[in-house]
Amino acid sequence: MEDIKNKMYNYETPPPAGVWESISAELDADLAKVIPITKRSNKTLYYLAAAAVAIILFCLVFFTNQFSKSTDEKLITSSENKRDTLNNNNVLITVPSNEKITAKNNNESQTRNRSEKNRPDKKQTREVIKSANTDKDNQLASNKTSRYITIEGLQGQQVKVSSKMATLIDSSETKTASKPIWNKKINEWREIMKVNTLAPTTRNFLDIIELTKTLKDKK
Amino acid sequence: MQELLYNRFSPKMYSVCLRYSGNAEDARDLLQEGFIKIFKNLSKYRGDGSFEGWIRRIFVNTSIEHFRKKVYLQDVTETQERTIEDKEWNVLDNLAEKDIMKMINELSPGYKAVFNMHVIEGYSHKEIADILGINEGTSKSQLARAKTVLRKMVESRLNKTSNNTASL
Repeated sequence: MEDIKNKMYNYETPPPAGVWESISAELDADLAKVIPITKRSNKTLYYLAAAAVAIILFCLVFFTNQFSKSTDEKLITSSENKRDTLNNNNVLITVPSNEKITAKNNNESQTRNRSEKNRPDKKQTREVIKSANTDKDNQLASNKTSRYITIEGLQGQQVKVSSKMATLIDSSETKTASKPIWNKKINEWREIMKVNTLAPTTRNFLDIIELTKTLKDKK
Repeated sequence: MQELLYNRFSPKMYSVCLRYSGNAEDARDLLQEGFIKIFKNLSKYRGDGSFEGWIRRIFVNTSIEHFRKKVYLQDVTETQERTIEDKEWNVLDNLAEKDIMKMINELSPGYKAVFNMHVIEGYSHKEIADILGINEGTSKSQLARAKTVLRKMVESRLNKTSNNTASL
């Protein structure tokens, strides 16, 4: 029986002619049916990709505009409010909205989620600035908790400085400054900086060594 | 690549188709259908077992599927089954493949299917029963009957040959 199995298992009979041609034609026909579906699905994919890109671009443009608008409004508002309260030293103090919110609305921030807290909010910014105008101590307290503030230079350029520097500036303009000795120093520095060719950037303004060097040079 | 596969396996698979169908026309259709199935499902071959075995199984299944309606297997009772002889059987051993093929093709579809599946492809009776949707006992009895018919065919052939020799 095993012998028959081996014989017949491997037995070969030449297939009739033309079978391969029929198989090939049928496979080609099946392939031809599939192609339009593939093309259609590719087209749909392209449309979807284009739509996705368009949506992303729209969102980018929209949010960029919103952000720049809110930043402009913040600066204008703070500039208008602060011009009266500060002396005529052409220095404007503004505080970044997210930092201000953290400082001022500490209780509120606990109840809000993180994303809301980090989002720039016009109303809250105005509230904080208003508060800063009416109560300078509060402003200082707020500034103390901020990492940096933005000041407006002689040419109207915005410069970020540390909150410590803000305290110094404040001390120089307040009769009851916490360290009145700073008033004199800062006024001296300011006069020097006004006539100095050194541009008041964050780097050189905060660099005490550079400032000291400049003072020494002037002497 | 497809043509290479076809050239490599078509002679063997055509034999399989012939054994199950019994005629060249049906075997041709089976060959075409089987190869199209193979080319469409080539990615499903997982590599466990021989590739030829996988191809052969597709051809056997295609042939069985094709002739399932034609194959009518009558269940036999246990009493009938006991009467069927299943002696040591090697009458076909001395015949050439071509002659064996011819005799197998003369069997009825039911006998042919079970004989091919069990004796040549090596399926167990349980597997045959599952594939054909019959009892295991029916598969055994069909095989036994197929063997009886084939023995008779061989004997008749041998008688004819001896008569021809004697007349010469």
